[in-house]
Amino acid sequence: MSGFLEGMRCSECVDWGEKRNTIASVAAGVLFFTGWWIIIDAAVIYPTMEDFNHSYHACGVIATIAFLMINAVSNGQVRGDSYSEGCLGQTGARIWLFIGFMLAFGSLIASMWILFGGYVAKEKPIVYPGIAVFFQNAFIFFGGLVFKFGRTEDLWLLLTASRFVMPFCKPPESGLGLPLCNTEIMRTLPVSATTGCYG
Amino acid sequence: MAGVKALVALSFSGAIGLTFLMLGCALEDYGVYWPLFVLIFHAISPIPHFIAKRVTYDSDATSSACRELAYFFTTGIVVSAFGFPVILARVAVIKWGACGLVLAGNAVIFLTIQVPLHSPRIIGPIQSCRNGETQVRYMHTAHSCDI
Repeated sequence: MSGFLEGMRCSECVDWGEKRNTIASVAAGVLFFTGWWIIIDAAVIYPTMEDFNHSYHACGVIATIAFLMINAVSNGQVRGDSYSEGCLGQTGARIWLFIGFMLAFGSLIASMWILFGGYVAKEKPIVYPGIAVFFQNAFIFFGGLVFKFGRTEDLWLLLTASRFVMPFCKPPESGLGLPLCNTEIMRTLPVSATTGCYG
Repeated sequence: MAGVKALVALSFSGAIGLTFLMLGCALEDYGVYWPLFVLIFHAISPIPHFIAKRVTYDSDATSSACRELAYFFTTGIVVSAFGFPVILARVAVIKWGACGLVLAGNAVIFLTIQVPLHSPRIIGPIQSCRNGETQVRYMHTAHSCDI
């Protein structure tokens, strides 16, 4: 019984494998669009300006723009190790990402402001639209974070690597070439002594 | 023969899903046909997948940004198809029972649509070459028709 948790490693060697990017994309999609449907729900139920000021929608729109900006640049471009410079180079990518994150945090904070300044502090009888705005922005924000940091770009690079490794990888007749070859690639990578992970 | 069985199973589940959807609309207690608009979501849900399949350079890549974007949008369409009847029920256009039936139909129909898209072996190789031969997908070539 003693030390049976020692074999467990926390998140450094979780075998997301090839599914990692797919799972992250789907999770981000669920978060993002759930956020928008929450605000649609509030807007449909409370159509009047008194209950739900229409200008509060600007918050979610800016959060969406921030989502697009954050995910338009890859991590490789920001670090400067991508193959192409892009139109503005590494500095441009960093400035773009900085503005994107600023818009994202700004919209999240603004939604909290709307909730408390527009509904709680005024002691309105109906608080639901404010909560909806807050949850919309929170969902979009975390959706953006998941889409940005949940995915790894190593899976894109593996494609490039597999092009070179491919001659050693015989094409099987079954047409199921991909998993077989990739496991062989994984086995050719050195195993780290400390983490036990590949690469 | 396996391909035929899969096709029959898929069409059966599609019919089940559509039955749920129509029950949610047409039962005497309900009788409101607004939920039929989810059919639009069903129709457009495979489109991102087709676009990504056409745009990505090598379909045998482990992953690519384009395909991940397609997953994102497909998820959005699916979430929208589930959100729409819920909103209709919340504003009392339809009853919650009808909403439940539509949601069940949604789940079955989306399984019917998405499962064969992401596991093409179920219905066999559907890509074919210009000369009519079935394309064999090797990993090291983007276009393997000439093998």
